[in-house]
Amino acid sequence: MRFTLSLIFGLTVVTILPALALPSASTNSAYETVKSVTDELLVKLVEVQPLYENDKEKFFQEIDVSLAPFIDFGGFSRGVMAKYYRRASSEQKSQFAVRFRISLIRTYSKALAEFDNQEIIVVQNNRPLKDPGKARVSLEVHRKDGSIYPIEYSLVWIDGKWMLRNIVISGINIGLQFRSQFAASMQQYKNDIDKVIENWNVDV
Amino acid sequence: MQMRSIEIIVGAFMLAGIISLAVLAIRVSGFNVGAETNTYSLYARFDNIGGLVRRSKVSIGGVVIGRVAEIRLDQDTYTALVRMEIDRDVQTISTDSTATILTDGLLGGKYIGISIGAEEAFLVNGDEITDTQSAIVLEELIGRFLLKKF
Repeated sequence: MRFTLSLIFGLTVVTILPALALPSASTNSAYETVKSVTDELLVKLVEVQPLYENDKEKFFQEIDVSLAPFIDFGGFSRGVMAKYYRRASSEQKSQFAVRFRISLIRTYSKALAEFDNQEIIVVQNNRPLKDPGKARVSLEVHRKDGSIYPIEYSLVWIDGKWMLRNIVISGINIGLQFRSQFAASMQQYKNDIDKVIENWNVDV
Repeated sequence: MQMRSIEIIVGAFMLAGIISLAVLAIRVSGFNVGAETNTYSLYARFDNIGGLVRRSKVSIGGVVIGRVAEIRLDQDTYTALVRMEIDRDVQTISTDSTATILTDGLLGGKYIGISIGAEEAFLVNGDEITDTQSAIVLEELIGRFLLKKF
């Protein structure tokens, strides 16, 4: 009797465990995600960097392929729209997410095009956040002149993987800058969300 | 007898004058006796708080909704942990809001500005605003500018 009970208990636990899929030891796996994406990107960059001179579009596409699966464009663009998010229709929300994705990938690509074999160190032992579904991973870009500029990624756990939600570069909160830009744009176009989206700058 | 009563009246006026001045001074400084009970606490971490002090204001869109209650140095991460007391009637600060350290005017003191996000969930007592922007320190900016020159 006892044996059957413990067998049933054991089987139940084993079948439930995968369904939980919570980010346990979450900051370690967030670190690993960032490290592997960074390493893969740097390897790819060696091949595609020369493309930037001749075929910018192709270069952007290559970077998009590498980075897009790692970035939560929906959540990121939602944070940029902030208090205007509720006023937008679902079509406007997705239109903005698309434009935002283009501008973010292009900005990222431009920075990568100028990347000159600097050393990128992904910091281990990042402080775990109270919310297990969120994580912070720090990176350091070591410039040739010895200076270090710090980058901090804010990640969220979505559908079984860590995705990028915000970046802080050298102490400047990029998501916040975009948010201010969106708000200023709303002022400029008199709260016409369609105009704001249309005029969201995607050129670098 | 008359001198005495005149003296007493003068004394009373002096006292009233001094008390009024004291009340005025307290009111101007924004010190609110007993208002602490109508608040809840929110935390935020910054790499650099600039000249932020206890009782610096916390505002949303320029409207003061609370004060900085406590500032501590977290010796594990060397970040500043700030506790803010927010008015209880401000309940709708979304969980993805951002706390920024801003300067009042050109040369004024530092304060915390909260920029509201888009999440439907709101922060409650004891929660932390995880998305922050530290103070822009002039010397660091100059340093960065100088470095670029090389």
